[in-house]
Amino acid sequence: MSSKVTKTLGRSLVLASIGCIIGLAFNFARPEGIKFVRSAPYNIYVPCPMMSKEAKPIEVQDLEGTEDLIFIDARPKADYDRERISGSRSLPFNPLKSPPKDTVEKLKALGPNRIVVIGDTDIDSGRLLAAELSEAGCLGVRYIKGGFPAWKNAGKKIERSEAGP
Amino acid sequence: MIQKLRTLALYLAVPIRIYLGVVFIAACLYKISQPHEFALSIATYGILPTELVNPMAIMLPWIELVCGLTLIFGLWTKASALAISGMMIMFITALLIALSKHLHMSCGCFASAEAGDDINYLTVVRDSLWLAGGMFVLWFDDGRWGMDGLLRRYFQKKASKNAISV
Repeated sequence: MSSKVTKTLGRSLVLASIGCIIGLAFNFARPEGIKFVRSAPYNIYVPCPMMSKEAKPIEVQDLEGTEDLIFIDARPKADYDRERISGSRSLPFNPLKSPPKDTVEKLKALGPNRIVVIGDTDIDSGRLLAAELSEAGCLGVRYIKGGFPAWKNAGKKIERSEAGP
Repeated sequence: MIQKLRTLALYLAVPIRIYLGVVFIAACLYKISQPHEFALSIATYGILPTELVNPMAIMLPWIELVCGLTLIFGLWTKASALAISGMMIMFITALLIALSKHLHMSCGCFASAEAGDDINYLTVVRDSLWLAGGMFVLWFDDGRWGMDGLLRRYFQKKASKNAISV
């Protein structure tokens, strides 16, 4: 190694050492300094990956030929049990859990443009579940704008549980 | 022709050197003022063992500050450029590891992990350009327009004066 390279390397190490010494001294002197060695791991919060696929919204009145459609109800099971679109299937949206794989596979097998998700307006569960299904590979998933209340307000047929209040 | 290009590179290396110095000083200020936040940023990458996170958070910003200042003033220019290039290689490696793990996080380069945009390949490109800048300064800047040049001229003058008086 030539003397020039050695000199540059040596000086780099000197600069780094100066930085280290000042850093240690400053951290030691300041009241808000941190411990030199931390034994407990840091609690790291990394935001959940965002869903890159968004499903298409659809107005209730734009739904035609509903006999070919499969309605997926994203609302909590209790709400679904109380009242639902007749023939719909319950798949409650859970922000912490993906839908079961076998269910997703069955929905994928239905083919494109057949799934319509209906949710509630509080947490926009319809849009979120529809996005999740799209992300999982279901094609042409749509969700009803305004969710179940919009469906009801449009005077569309619903099914009520007989044991309900 | 080559001589002309070399002279051009010599001129070009000065603004690049000052720009890199400013970038490094800007990068270190938040890290120095918020060591805990910076330690958290380092820990989020999940590369270093827990025991090494805090020493890194304490010392790295000061190395950045020292190298940034020496680059701006042109003191030990090549050594500062080498240190900064080394740090850039380290940052790029950390970014690539984080991207390969699909981590959604800010790079923690200028602020805390919670602030700023998520890392992506553009962050790697940006850091690579800074690395290229560092290498350019290392290769072409001989320090003549900085403290190195001033000191060199001062000592040469002193030596020639001594030679005359002898």
